[in-house]
Amino acid sequence: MEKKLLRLLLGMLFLSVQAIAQQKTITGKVTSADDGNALPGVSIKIKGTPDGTVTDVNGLYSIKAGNGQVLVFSFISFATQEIAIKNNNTINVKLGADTKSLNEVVVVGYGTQKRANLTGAVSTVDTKALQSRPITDVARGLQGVVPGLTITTATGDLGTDPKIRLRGLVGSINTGAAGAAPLILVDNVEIPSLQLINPDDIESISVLKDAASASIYGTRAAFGVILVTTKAGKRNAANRITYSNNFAWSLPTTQIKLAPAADNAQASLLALQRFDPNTTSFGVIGYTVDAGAIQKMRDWETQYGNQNLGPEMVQGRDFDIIGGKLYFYRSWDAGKMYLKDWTPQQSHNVGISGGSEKINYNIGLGYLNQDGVLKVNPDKFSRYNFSMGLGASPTKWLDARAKVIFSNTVTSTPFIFSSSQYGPYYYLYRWPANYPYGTYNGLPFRSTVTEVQQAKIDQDKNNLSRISVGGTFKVLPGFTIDADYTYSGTNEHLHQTGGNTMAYDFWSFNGTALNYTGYQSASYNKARYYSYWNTVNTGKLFATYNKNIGDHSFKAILGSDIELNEYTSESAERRNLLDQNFGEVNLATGDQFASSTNGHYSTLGYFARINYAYKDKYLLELNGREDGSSRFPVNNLYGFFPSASAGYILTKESYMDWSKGFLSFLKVRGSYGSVGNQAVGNNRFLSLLSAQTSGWILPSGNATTLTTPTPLSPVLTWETIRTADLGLDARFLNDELGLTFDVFNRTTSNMISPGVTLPSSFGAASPVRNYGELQGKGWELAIDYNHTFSGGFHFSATATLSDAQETITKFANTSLQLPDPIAALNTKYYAGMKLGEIWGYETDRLFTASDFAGKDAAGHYVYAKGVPSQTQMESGSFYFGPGDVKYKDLNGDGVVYQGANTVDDHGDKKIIGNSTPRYQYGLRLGADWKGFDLNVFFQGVGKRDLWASGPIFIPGFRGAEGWYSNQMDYWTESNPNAFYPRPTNYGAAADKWDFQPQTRYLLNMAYLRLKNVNLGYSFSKSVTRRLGIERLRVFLSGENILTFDHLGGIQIDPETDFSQTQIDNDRAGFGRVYPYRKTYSAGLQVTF
Amino acid sequence: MFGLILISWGCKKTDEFLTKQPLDQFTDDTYWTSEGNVRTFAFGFYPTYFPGYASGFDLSWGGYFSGESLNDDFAPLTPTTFTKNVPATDVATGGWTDGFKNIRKANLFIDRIKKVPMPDEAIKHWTGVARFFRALEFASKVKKYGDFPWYGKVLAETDVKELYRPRDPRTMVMDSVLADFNYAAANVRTADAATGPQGLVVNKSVVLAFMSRVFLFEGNWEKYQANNAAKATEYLTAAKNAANEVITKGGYSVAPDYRKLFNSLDLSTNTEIILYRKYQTGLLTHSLNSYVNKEVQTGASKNAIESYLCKDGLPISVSPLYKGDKTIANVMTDRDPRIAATFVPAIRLNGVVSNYSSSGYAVLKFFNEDIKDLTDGNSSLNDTQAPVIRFGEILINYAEASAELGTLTQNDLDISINKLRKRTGINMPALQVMGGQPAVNGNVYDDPKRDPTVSSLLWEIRRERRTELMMEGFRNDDLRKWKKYQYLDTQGNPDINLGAWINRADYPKTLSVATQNNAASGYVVPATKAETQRIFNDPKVYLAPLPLDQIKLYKDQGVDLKQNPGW
Repeated sequence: MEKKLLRLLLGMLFLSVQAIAQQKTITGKVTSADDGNALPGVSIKIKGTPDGTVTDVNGLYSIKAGNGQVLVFSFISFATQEIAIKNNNTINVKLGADTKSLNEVVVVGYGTQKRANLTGAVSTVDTKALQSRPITDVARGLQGVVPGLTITTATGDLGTDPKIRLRGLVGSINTGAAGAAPLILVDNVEIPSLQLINPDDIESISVLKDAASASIYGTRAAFGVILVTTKAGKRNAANRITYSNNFAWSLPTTQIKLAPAADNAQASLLALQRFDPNTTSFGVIGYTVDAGAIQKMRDWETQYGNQNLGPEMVQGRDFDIIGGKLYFYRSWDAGKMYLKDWTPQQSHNVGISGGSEKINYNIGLGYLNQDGVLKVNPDKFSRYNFSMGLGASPTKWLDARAKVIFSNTVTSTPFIFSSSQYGPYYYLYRWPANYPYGTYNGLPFRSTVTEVQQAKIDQDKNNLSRISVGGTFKVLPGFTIDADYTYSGTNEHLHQTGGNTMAYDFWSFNGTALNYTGYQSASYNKARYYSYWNTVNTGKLFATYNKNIGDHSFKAILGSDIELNEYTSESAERRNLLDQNFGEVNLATGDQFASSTNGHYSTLGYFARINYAYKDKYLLELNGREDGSSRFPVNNLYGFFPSASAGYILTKESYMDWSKGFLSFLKVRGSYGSVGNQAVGNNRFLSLLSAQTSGWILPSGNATTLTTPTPLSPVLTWETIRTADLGLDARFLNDELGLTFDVFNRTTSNMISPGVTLPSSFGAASPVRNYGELQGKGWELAIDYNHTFSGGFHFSATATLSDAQETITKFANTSLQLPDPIAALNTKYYAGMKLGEIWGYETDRLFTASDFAGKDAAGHYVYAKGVPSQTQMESGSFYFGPGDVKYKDLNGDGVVYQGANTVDDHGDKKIIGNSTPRYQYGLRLGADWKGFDLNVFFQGVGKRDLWASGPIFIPGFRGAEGWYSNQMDYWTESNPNAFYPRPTNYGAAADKWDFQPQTRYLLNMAYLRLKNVNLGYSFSKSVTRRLGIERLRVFLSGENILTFDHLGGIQIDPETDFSQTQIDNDRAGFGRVYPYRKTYSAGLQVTF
Repeated sequence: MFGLILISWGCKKTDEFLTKQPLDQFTDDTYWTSEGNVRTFAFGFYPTYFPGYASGFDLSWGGYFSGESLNDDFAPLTPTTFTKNVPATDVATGGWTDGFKNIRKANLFIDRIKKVPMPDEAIKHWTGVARFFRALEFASKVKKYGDFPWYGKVLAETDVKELYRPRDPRTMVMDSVLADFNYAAANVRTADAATGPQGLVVNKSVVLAFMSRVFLFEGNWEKYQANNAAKATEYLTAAKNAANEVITKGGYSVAPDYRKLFNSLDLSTNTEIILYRKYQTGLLTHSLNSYVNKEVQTGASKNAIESYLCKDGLPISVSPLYKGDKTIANVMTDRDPRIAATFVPAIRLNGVVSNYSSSGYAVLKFFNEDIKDLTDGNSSLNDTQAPVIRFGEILINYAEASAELGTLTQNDLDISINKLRKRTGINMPALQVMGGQPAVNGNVYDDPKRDPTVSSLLWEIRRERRTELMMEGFRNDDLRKWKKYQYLDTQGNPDINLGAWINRADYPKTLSVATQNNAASGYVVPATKAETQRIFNDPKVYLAPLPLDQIKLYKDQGVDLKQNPGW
């Protein structure tokens, strides 16, 4: 083999020697057709020979070549030109921009590939489109940009990571909260959060979607890979300094509005009277509401509603104490008092880059500061970034490289005096409008606003430091060895200072006077430090061999990667602070608490890939990976996962010549491959006992205990994910219009799932086995169009549309219970189930008096003849009557009920919707003309249903508490056509009585959002150069500024979902979360 | 060259590199190594069986106060209903499914203890503790469901036959429970100071105390519900003997202050406490103290108030001391002092005060006045300690078991009930038995209001039990074991849906309560709606229905898991 190589090499040399005989020197300058600037670093090759050169900093080149030979000018993101040498000795070339060129080089796993030659499903992101958007992280910018990626944020919280999922939401029922999350690699090494990366540092983003392109990364890439490459500077490039900034102001997209106090109280009273008609008054956390108080609330509204009375509350006017009871009359707008109208945000980025023939460098500095919406004790998010990339060629046989990334984020939030699911927003919108947010004698009442006001600020700092060194050894022409090592350290330090809150604690009103006191649990009077450290050591070593023989071109890669991931956390807490202003553990005197976690995992894999192309027409790629992971059972550490893909470029065939006029490129491709899934939960193959506090208090404290070890099936092994993908790439009209289409089928087989449903007598959940199978099917479409009109008006459009649906195809389940209406909580599956499906009743309408034939002796309504009975849905003291929801008797048995609530006996229930987002789309329209550029970006979801929970969704969820303005449209005899049924107190229980999952109140979460509008102006070079500025652009931008949805009166943003803490703890907080924001921004970009 | 690098990279230790055991968690293989670990595991059972006043805003308060209101002591606005429907699935704590989790945990514990290197005495002690927990679980399941499958080992998923075994007869299960209790009583340490102080850990007295509670119920059930005289005698004897051993060997005594048993910030030195749950600010707190003080509460019924004797030891219907109930002062004057220790000396009515009670009568028993304005006395931050099982109950268990066995002597009364009557601050005349009839101060009496099917002596024993254990969560179980659910019918027993007597004119216009026939004066009627009345017309409710999904699962395997009768 090596001898052959050598012979070949010598042969080539001989050829060049021959050519030299007729050579002359050609010189010239390469400039950009766009702006006339010199282009340094352009590669110039003599076609058919290995000879070539590059342009210098001024775009000049010189090369020796002979007449008749062809010079090939190529440069990344410019269209390649070929010019034949005639008699002239000077050849000046203008290269035109070619953003969608098929010659564009795309970053793929362990290498790059020409777009035209891709055989797998790979999408790239136009990172330029992300610039000058007032977004804080790249993930938010990817929403709607890459077909197949689902990017969601459940709340508007600052500094949180959006959920990123690829080709469906779940992938396997074991992926947990993360779902089908792709592996995110920054410079080939995993990163825990894209929040840590400055969007400005990013050079390119590729998304590897099918098994064939992702499997080279092994088990962690089961759900695809997002490859982010950061800037490292370019060879022979001018030294440039760039500066950009962005000043933004945002306001909430939606605001929750409570019902007017008196109306709210009236509804509460009606709801409570259902269960006890004698109720004439009720208490809400210490204060009382009765008919007199309701009148007073109304009077107050009439008399003072429009006046600014200041915060001070006057006894007799705003509140009263009568007969040992406390009454509040005055209304407040808690949201308005608590939230700023506008919150600022700013970012600054500086970049310094350049390169000579042997060296390239890039330095990036970034700063981001985002203020939160809190008015009283503002929260904040800030980020500092530093990055440095360096490349050098000290010898002919080595390209060395090094990169340093450092990032520091700080999230500051007021201490929360409750568990996280009951944060300030939960309480801000929990109580009715007459809840006292004012002061009395200048002192505040107990409220979440008071708590935030008096709270100390928690600081959560996250750091990333990453150092990578590596090099490419050019062993022989076409044969290179790459070795890279990366150390990546992330750590988090959280410092919390609790304390107490001083206020009139009317929640425990003593019947005589308001008591100004501290009222928080002693457990909040504490200082706490929490730290988390994670280090990842990654090594990669691979050899690449490129070889062209005639029309055959080969590329082979053989390599290995290894990773060790270790993490530790510790928490230290001490109660009873000496002084709330000094939140230090050693300045507290009470009980001490400490805890730690410690863990590690490792992976090791060997991989090989062969690419073969014949005449750049028939393309074939074969991949194989022998992969090991410590997350797998010790007796089964390794698995072999092969994949293959192939492509066929039809337009290279002569039989397609007829289409040349409009079809410039057509490729069909297909791939199939498998990869193991390690995202099945840590220690999945071990029977664990977890330490926890028992809740049994000994003199020494809360006794520690351990959980019961879970039963484990001895035959359990890993899951395998197979993806088949068929794709088509086409370009029309001289490449101006492009289309990419993919259909895929991703099957998760051997899915770890409960074995056969065991009876309760087993005493534990059935041990899991590799019983299940899940199939995700979908398609992705991307269209782009670029056209420059005469006169310089340039127009571009890109559109993406995708759909994915996941179905359980195999599941050992004999009880066939219906799934939970909230997908994230669901643990019940059956073969044939589409994930996200919502079972419920079809709503007929609200009952009218004529549906009943009077009341029986016990006072319950008797159904009129022919009206199906809903008695079986009654419980407690709830009985259906006029104004309640009338469900449809779908099975016609005269009774509305869920049967056994199983798939084979679901009574009158049916599938009423699905919470999986379908038909996700994005549309970007861009135009530029004479320095002006305008970009408009729409993003949306075509179909999605949600069955929610909590008081925002269910009027009367807690009857005596806050109702919302939209919920005042409830049934009464005088309002029989109301949207909501007769008021009922649900006692904090969801999914019963009038609020069984049903079609009438199902939320339609489809939306179309004007995500971004960006208007920029670039000053003409002739102007800016006088100021020593190479390029100057100013812009205005708006984010989330228009929304179209189908939510009606429900006061939530259409992107709202259950947050993880709501899922884990209490869904009642749904919608009462940190607001989503629309943002307006302005900024500039300068290049020196 | 490349191959060499790969080999050196991988080296022969790759399997070692890829084998990463958890660092901060134990596995079933690594945990069972010392008695300390066994002790630690045991605490996982405690809050399940000894909930005390529960924790946080858990308004079941471990069954204390209105946490158990399906009885004739409480008169709610909406009477607690009997179970109406057969559940499709069972997820509730204390239900069918939950029970087997606890059984598996106990059986696993019993099995793993054998592997731990420790002395034989320790193995026996911990096996006893584990069997005690297993017995408690089976006893509670039998109480709820009747027949129940008995399992003495951890089941594997492949033990299909065992998994789908039909229910074992009630007595068979309870015989096994008795065997567990006997083993535990014989082997559990008298004190286990290494685990924790007396009163906070399971010891021999705790086992015997619970044994008397469990078998008093079961003996009565066999007697009144199952009509199995032989088993009734066996179980009642077990209850009596267990109680007797606590009385004679436990070293406990009746504490001087009745209320301090329920509202103390420290129960560690209380001589009556056999086991209590400790609460501590910042670690574990409850909300019972706040509720009886500041919240709207479910009040006591007229029937409950009238069950208290007058201080001469006679029922109100015969005592000359009874002042009637037109005022709360009259209600409380010259009565068994336990009435004043249990109820607030004021009528709290809706529309007048914010912390009103549904019947006007409000509970005081669990309230600590000293902390009412402190943070600890409010919200869910209460730190009064909860009695889990106390000597006072054991005395009553002893008396009741003896009476039901028909062996009750004056001496039995003197070592049990009369000790409670002699409690400091209570000082009620001793109950005497004369010719099988109850008597005080040498005078035989018979309560004319007594249930004619209950003997006059038994009636007084049951009255003593109701008085002493009022609002402690026993009443429903008592009515079940005596087969007296007819007491719960609000139409058959109007007194259980009546509260205090009031004169409307004495209160402001804001008064918001119903009185009988809406008269200007009369008894408060908490539940006014016809549809909310509790009717007892089907004895099926003595046993809970089995969840449907389980019956179906068994059916799919060809096994008939029988539903309880009537469901």
